[in-house]
Amino acid sequence: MAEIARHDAHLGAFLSVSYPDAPGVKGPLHGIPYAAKDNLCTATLPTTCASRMLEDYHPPYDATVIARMQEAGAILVGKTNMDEFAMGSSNETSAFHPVANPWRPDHVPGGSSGGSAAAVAAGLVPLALGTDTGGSIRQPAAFCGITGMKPTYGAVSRMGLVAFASSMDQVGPMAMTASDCAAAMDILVAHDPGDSTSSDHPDAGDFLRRVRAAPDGCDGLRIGIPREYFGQGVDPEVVRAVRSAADVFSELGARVEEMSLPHTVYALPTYYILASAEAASNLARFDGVRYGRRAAANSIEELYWKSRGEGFGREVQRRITLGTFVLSAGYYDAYYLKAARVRGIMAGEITRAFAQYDYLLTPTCPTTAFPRDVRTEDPLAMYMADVCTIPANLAGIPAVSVPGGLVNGLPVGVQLMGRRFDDAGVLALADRFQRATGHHLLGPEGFGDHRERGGEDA
Amino acid sequence: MITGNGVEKMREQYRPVIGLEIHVALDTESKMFCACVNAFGSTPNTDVCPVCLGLPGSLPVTNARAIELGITCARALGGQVAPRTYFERKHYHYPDLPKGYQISQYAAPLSIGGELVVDDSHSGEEVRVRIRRVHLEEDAGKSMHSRQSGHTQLDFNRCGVPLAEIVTEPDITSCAQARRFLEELRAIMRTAGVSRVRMEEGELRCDVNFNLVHVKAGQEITRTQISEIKNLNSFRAVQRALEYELMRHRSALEAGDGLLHETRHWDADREVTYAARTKEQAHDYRYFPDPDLPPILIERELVDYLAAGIPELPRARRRRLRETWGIEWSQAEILVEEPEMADFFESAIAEGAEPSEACKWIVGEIAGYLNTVDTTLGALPFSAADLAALLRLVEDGAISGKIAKEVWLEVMEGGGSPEAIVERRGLRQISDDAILEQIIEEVVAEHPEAAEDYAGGKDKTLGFLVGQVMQKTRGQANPQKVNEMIARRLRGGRDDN
Repeated sequence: MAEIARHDAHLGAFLSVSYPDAPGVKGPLHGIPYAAKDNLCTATLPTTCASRMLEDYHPPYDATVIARMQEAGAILVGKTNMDEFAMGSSNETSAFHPVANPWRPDHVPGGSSGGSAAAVAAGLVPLALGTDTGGSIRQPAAFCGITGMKPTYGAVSRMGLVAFASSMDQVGPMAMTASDCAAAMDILVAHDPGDSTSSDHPDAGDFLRRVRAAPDGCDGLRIGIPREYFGQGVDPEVVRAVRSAADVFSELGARVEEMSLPHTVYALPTYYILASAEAASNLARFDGVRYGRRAAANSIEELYWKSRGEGFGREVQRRITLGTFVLSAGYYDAYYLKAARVRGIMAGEITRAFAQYDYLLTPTCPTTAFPRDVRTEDPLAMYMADVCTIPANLAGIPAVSVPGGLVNGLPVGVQLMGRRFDDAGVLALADRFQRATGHHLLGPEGFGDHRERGGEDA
Repeated sequence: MITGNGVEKMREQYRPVIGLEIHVALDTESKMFCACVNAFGSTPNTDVCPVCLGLPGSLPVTNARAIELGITCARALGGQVAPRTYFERKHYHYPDLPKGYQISQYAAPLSIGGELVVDDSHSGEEVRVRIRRVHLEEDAGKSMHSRQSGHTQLDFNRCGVPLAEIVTEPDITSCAQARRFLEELRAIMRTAGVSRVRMEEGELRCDVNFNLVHVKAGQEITRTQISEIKNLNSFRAVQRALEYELMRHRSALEAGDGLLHETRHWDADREVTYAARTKEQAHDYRYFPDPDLPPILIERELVDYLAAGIPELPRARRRRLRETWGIEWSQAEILVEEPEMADFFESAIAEGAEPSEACKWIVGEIAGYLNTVDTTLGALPFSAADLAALLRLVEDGAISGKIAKEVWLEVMEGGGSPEAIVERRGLRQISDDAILEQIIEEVVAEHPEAAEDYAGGKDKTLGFLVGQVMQKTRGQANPQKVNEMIARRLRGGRDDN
């Protein structure tokens, strides 16, 4: 707790902190402190989604994942900062304050789970929960030099996760290592009858064991590198980091080869249409009538208009506007319906690729962390940060970002994707990479002493 | 020269075109997407949870029973149930709609097609109304506006109550027919166990679409634009609102006005419809498939199983009751409106009751009593066997019809067998000739003039004499028998009219 208090004044990773006195339940995660992104409902701490709309909102219940972590003995120490309603890639849309990247404080930590990533990277907590709709776990994990896992859609309950885009939202772990993520997955993954989209996962409760049981080598594994992920706007140094990761897997015995997923180029527009449509719908409930921000008004229309105008920030309003537009009469077919079809085509293409390859290797993000304020006026540049992570959400497949070294003193993320429900395989592959390399052991200067100081470039 | 046929062709006509959208509350234990109880009349905002309140992070889980009742509803109307269906979100902002959208169905309804046949009791004509679709959706909460304070209070108990929406084709051609349709629909829903259709609890609400076609010489000349009247919650309101619209559309046509396509509301106090505000009319619901709810796959076997469980439907049952037991149209109508009542009738016959008598008692005494006590037939403390026993007592001459009504009232109120009540209260009729003869002698002795008058041919006096005998026996004498015996005693059987 002292660490959090001392460092978070500079970082801004937390929105609320609890001072638990109970030692926690005896369980697999007994006594392990963790932080949760502030869009996961907690009965003991406010849940703001980093929005003025929910500034004073106290949910009456715990999200399923929060309850499961508590039953496993983990201790919730605080709620982490994020982009408002998880819409953003830099944590700059938080209505309260930005989050500093522990590696370079005037750079962004990524988003939207920027607070969770920064808290783990700075050593304030060994584990944090994030949520990932288009890359919101993996991209900040990459920017902050940690390991972040987006599970298969349906693996983790969404009950109590304040929805952004329901068909893509997933809760997942963010930690130093793939094996720590696997330990958290053992708690997080379970069928929840309260979430109609949750599944019975074949490896529920068995992730850590499977990761530990995996051999050091990668004999017989086929890894594809889709060339569409290396197009325009991808930093050559990032490309170099991914190539060297590919070399590591080759040396471990995997057959690594370039391949093509031609529909990848449509991922970004498809995602922004579908995610915005769902977001506009999911956020319709914030009307100032029952909870959340309520503006003074003389009529019901004015109440809606002013409460939503004051409560939502610019990026949220932009996406609601976009989402409303693409669902409107006369535009539905051209936008929403077409995007839904393209999503189906892309998912089919990815499924077919997994007939030939066991895993896909790509950059997590085209660049390393960028300086604060440079992209806030250019939404399209900001959206480009998600271009490599979005396909996994559209296809519902598991994906992990692992540290792949440093470029100019900032971490690079390498992404591994696998078949639906092969979360354990993805984590095991990430773990083998981490057994073979030391990238995940690098840490930023000035925070704790749990890792090596950052230094040499990859 | 105009032939008879020509006169027919020249006739001017205004033909109403009416379509209905009916919401029926499904008779489930819990709500559509959460475990809250589906009840009416609880303290406001007590039958609620994060899901039906639409709190952030909450997720819906479909109630399988609601789907089953929806399928039963669709099959009872002859609809084709879709093998794959899904829920969509219908967006609009209103304070009693907590999520900003209603979970409903749009592109893929639960069922399409079907038909409901209404028998017109007067003309004997069959009116066939095609069903366009049946879909499922959740109800919204209730807004209570106070005119005095200008405030609105919200009750979310009704939020998430499962509804079936039944949409007809515009096949209804008169206001009375619309009402008959709804009455028939109510009887079907009750018979199939889909809904109890308690009107006073808002379990059936109706939107009507109305326009009027001007026909001359068999040719359509013009027609008005459609008016949609929203949220009518009684049959009377439907009929009255349609009658009002008929008048309004007709005046418009006569004045050469085609009217606007608009949404209207019914003012039950003034009995007029009025146009909704333009804002309420400009709706773009932005439907899209609800990503929280996976598509529902409905197996053929389930549909067949549920369809097989639907009892005989009202129209067939009415016909069968009439043909088998010879009861009146109107009586069959009353019996079948409440399936329990028709079941009771048939049980009474099985217990040996004479059909027309049983029917008379059920439609008269029992239905009348039910109207006064606000409960259901099944909840009352008597059985069809009790009614059969009562009728047997009358038939055997053990009690008179008048006494039977008294006995039956006691049975309806407190239960108990009619025989036991008759014995306990000493109500058995006196049919013993010796006793009656003695009493008649007393009466004749006490009223010699009346006896002489009757003997001399004054028929009217008989009633007086019988009345005296009844008085002496405190109503227990068998009046028929007393009649006969006095006649024999005073006229020696000369006149047994």
